Amino acid sequence: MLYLYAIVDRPGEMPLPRVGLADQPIFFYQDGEIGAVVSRVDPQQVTTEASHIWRHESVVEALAEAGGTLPVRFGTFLADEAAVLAMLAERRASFVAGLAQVRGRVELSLRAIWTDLPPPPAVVEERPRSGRDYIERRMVEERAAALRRLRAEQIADDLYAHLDQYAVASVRKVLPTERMVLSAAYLVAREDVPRFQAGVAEIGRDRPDIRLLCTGPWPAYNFVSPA
Amino acid sequence: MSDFLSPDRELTLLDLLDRILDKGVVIQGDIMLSVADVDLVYLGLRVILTSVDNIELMRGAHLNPPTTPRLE
Repeated sequence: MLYLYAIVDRPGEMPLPRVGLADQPIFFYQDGEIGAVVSRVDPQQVTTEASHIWRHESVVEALAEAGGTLPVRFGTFLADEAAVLAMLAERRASFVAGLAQVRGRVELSLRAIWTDLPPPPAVVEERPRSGRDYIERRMVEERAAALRRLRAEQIADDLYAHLDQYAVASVRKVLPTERMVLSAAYLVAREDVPRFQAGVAEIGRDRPDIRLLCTGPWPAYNFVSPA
Repeated sequence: MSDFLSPDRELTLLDLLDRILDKGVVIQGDIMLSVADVDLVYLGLRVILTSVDNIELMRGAHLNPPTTPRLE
């Protein structure tokens, strides 16, 4: 079986990492200007253990440093050359558009966490004394939640206003959990990464009410389809 | 890999898993890696990811080593 790492631009002109999973040699199949980077691996040999996941990632990172790269989700196998070429032909338009979007760019992950959110009540409240008591409690809870949402949206807008200038695209989610204000991924030109990171650090200094966690640069996992 | 990851390394690992198992190009392969395994890892990951804030709270608190996400 062939294990798939990534779809890339002009693989013939790109230095490829030497070996991938199970230390098998890396090679590619090409269809026009796009290619699929693969190695021969017995599916039984690949599991979700950390070393295998890191090996997939290190191959994709090396490719992304060398040229336009769309990372393929971990654990994808195709039977043979014919299956790979058929897949490339079938999805060519989408791959070409995706590669045009990520070429020369990397992904940065950003999360914002409240630093001042009061801890959730530790004890179970006593039962409401009446129907009216119950309704009043619910109204207080809902107002608190609505206020928190409003504040999260203001913080998120503030972050976008500062960071969008360094990014070409983003995907983001406000309040993915109660304690997290924002979870986002930014597509950033490789040369703009230091400016993006400096921008994040600057916002972090100005806003004691949140803590910002930034990881990357990553291959563009969140931007594999054209926007 | 060390048994005791720093919160920074742990966050990086979580971000990696979130990407590699849930994002990226999805190709209908002839075989997908034992999908049940991936789903299980990912399910566990979602639980940990939603508590990234808790990992962050561990920064500076070295009394208890952070829990290492187990991938096996």
